[in-house]
Amino acid sequence: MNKKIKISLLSCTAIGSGLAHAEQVLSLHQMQYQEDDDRIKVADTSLALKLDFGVDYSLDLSLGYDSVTGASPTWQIANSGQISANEALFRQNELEQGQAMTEETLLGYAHDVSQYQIQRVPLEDTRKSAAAALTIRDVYRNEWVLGLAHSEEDDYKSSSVSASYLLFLDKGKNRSVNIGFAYLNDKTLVFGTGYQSRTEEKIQVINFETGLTQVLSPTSVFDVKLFFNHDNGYLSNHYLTILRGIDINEDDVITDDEYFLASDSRPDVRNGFGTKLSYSTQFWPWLTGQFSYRYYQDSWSINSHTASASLSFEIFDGVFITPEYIRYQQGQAEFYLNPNVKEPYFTASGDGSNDTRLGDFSADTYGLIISYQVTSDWQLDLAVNRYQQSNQFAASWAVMGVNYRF
Amino acid sequence: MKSHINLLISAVVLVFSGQVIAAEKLTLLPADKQMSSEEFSYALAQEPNPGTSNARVVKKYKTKGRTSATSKYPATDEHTEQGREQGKSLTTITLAEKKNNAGNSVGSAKQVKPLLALVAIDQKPPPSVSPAGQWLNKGFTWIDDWFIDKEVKPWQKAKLAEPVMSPAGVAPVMKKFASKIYISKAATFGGDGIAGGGCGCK
Repeated sequence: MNKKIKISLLSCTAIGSGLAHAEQVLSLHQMQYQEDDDRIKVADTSLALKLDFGVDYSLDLSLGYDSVTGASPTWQIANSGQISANEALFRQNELEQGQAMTEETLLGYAHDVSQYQIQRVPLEDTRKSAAAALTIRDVYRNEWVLGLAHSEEDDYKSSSVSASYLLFLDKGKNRSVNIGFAYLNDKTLVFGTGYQSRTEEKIQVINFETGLTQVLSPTSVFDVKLFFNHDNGYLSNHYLTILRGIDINEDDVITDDEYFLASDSRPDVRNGFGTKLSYSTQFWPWLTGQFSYRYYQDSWSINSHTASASLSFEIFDGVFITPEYIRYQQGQAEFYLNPNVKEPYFTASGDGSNDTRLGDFSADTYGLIISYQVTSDWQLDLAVNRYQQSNQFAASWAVMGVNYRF
Repeated sequence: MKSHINLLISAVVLVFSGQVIAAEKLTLLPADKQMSSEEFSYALAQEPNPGTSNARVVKKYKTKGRTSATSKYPATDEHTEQGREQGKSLTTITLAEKKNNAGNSVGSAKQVKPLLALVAIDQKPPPSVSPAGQWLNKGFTWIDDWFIDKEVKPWQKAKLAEPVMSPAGVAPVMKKFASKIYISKAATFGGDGIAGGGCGCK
């Protein structure tokens, strides 16, 4: 028998053994999300396929479709739909006069500041997304992961590429470093003056992450990550509004008839960085704990602390129940103003936002995940979560899904 | 069902290729140095087979979320080394008996598992760490000095390989859904991996 035949046989053996070790997983999950007071509802469906090609290649594919309905609170002009033509013309003139005195986008005008109220603005949107990630393992079992993702909404498009590299450092594969990089090129449609036009604005995002993973014992692993995010472009939320005082008559006094409805305005650049520490350990074969802490800081003066803990109980063979708790604490952005203070007004120019997500708050998440390995091929997942912020915002969500291995 | 078929195909190919390669090995040797098939099996059995313990773990996790395999296969260094030494001595004795009995040993070949060894017959041992990894590791040896009592061996990693020990847990998709909500309800993100698309919900 010649060498070629022998190599072919070895190749067949390798392929055969690769197939034997390969695992293909098809999963379908759906999330139902609902905010308290019937604000926003989201139905999110995710279909994912994981394909192993031997032991050196894996391909992860996913499709997503989610729909958002409800109403989001923001500043609006009361009874703006019940004004006369003359009044509408007057307001338009005042708006143009105010716009001439500032570079910020003005969206509306009312005679008196008391006519501005925080109202719920109805919204409806759908998001379709697709993502693919190819994992390649070299002879040392180091891994390259190359990813592509794209998503589309009515007024937002996002495309991204990513690459990460996992490098093992020791013979026992107990220590590894990971370096990852992602670039996002997003586009959004933004309202112009007086809601009269919409223009396309760009957002570019660069994410960098590196980390070290260390096996401490046969039952515990420690991981530390450092990450850096750079956002550049239109980073404001054009659905959210603020109130600006503009001295139209130039008497150095802002009177009640000199306040305008303006668009949310944030800096065009944001640099954020942070670190995350994670520790996983198996106390007993039926009890596994995962704990993590993350610190974040950015150039908008926002900082946050996130601590999480989860315990996975295997109550029966293949049945896992995982209670989880996450504590989040955030410091406000330097240009944020709480909309509930007595005079939440911004000056004619400069950054400003009443978006409570940029504010000072804490949040608690209570979660429960149940996973049931019905057979060697089928697994059912169920999760329920309760999320509550210190600023009276609260939401709940549940996820149901199934995984099929073949 | 398909996984069973895959396993069956793989097993058949393994057996077939192993027999052919073994036969070829014999023909490559000079006539006076040729071994019988039984002798060759003994020789193969004595070759180190680093992939055996990992193969057990992988096979187990193919079929189950977690396993009791750890209780079947001792996890400590002492036990494993002891087992290996016992295996080697057993093989050595049976081969010696074989020589003394001039080829009349009975059933000894069945005590070893040559199939996996046959696959690795012409393959070099896989390199363990890349040069870049070795170089970078020099900067982290202090971790061993300060935090690691004893190096964890590959065959001790059964529990670490369980899905429940992965950062995303037994149901990884739950983290993805939760992350999506957090980035839309808070102003900070990062540290959970770089893959993923953008979202207007921010």
